[in-house]
Amino acid sequence: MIFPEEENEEETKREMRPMQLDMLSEMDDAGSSMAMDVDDLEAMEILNEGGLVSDNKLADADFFNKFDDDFDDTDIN
Amino acid sequence: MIGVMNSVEAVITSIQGLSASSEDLSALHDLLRGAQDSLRAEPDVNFSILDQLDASKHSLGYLYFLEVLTCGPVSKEKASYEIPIISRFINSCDAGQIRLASDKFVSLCKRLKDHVLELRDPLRGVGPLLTAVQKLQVSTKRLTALHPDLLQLCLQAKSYKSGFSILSDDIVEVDQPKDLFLYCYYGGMICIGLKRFQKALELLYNVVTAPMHQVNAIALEAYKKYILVSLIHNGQFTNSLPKCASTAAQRNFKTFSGPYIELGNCYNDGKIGELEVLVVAKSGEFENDKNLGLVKQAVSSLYKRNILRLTQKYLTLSLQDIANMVQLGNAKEAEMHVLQMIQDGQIHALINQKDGMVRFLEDPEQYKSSEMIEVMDSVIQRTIGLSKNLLAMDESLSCDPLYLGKVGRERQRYDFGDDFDTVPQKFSM
Repeated sequence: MIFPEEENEEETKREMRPMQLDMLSEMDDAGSSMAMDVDDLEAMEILNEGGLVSDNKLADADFFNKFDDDFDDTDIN
Repeated sequence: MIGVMNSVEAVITSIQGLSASSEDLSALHDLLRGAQDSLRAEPDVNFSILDQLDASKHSLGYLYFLEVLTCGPVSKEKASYEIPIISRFINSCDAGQIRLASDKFVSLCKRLKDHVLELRDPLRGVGPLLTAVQKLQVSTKRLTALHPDLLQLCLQAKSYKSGFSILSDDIVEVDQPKDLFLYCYYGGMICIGLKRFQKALELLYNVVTAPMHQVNAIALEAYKKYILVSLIHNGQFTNSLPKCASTAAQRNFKTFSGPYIELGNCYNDGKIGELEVLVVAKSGEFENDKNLGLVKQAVSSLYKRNILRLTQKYLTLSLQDIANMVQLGNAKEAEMHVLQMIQDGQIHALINQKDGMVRFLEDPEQYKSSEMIEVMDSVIQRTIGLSKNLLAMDESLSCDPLYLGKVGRERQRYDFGDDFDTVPQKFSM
């Protein structure tokens, strides 16, 4: 099904795609990270995995992470 | 002193005589282990002793002496002197011999890393450490303790291609979790630098979802970058962590990454103006994390995402219409974005320069060229290989006493009735 072309005072032409293609755009909203079928939260608690962190204690907090921020593309442009 | 030097000379003679066969090397290794404390204690042992040894033929003995000679505090003078000696040894040494004393070899290579960083010349360490990783690895599937050090030097030297060369192997054997966390985090950053965002996501995902009993700082930083790369590459943000992430991660990551969660949610709304206001408001936090550059890429990607959505609704649009719809300044900016997206293969379109109209086209790829068949064949082969590895790991795990012991404990907690056999008593730990 083709939608009628829209026209404005400046005669800008916008040609729209057929309806069925619009449905494809909704599929893009699906999560990119597909959940795996794994043990639920209760099972993970049974395995004594960590709970809420207190006092901001993080493991390996002293790892080296003092790199320059090199990922700014506007510097290149 | 003469007695001591005689003992050192005796060690040298043993190294020269016992480096040929595997049986001799085993005996030599025992001798060196016994002598290392006395060698370490002797102040007169110096670099000239190495002139009596051949680094390629007497690698094991050479390694023991070199490790003793290079220990101690790091200084610029020491670094300048020792870097070429260690580098030459790494290039010349026999892989089979140094694997017999892998801990010492790793220690020596880490010393090389400390030296090049002391001289603020990380690039000098990239080549030698790449060679060291290749010699230390028994198999390309095994992660070594040197992988993270190499990637760190590559990042600091901005030598991304060298770092990427060790990221293509499928790692399935790991000794220390921290090594894997750093490998994936640094590796993710290498891929970001090369704009290989899909690979970056895979690596960052691995550390975000890794098992951990306690929140890990490396995994947390990886999660922040994972959010940003997801926005750049996939054009969307998912509020919940992957289901396979640990309980520690599920419960705590969001607490430590508030600005990034806000950014992701704002991005999902698709409003550029609000996103830019948020970035300015939180720029301090992003700068502290050294993520501001990546945040700016994420903002830029929202324009592209919005343009991509237009291609799904329209066959033709004017550049001015595109600019208006995605809130760009003018038609020229819209043209720049569209051209970049065409170049990156994100969209297929033709721009008519005369009337400023853009015609969006279908993907011309029909997936039946010889190149595409090669790609698919390669992916299929890799998948088959990974599947075999997974089956082997599953079989090994199902026989592991520690695993069976835990499963046995939990079967006692839950009464499954008479339908299941109980785990044998010896596995109830």
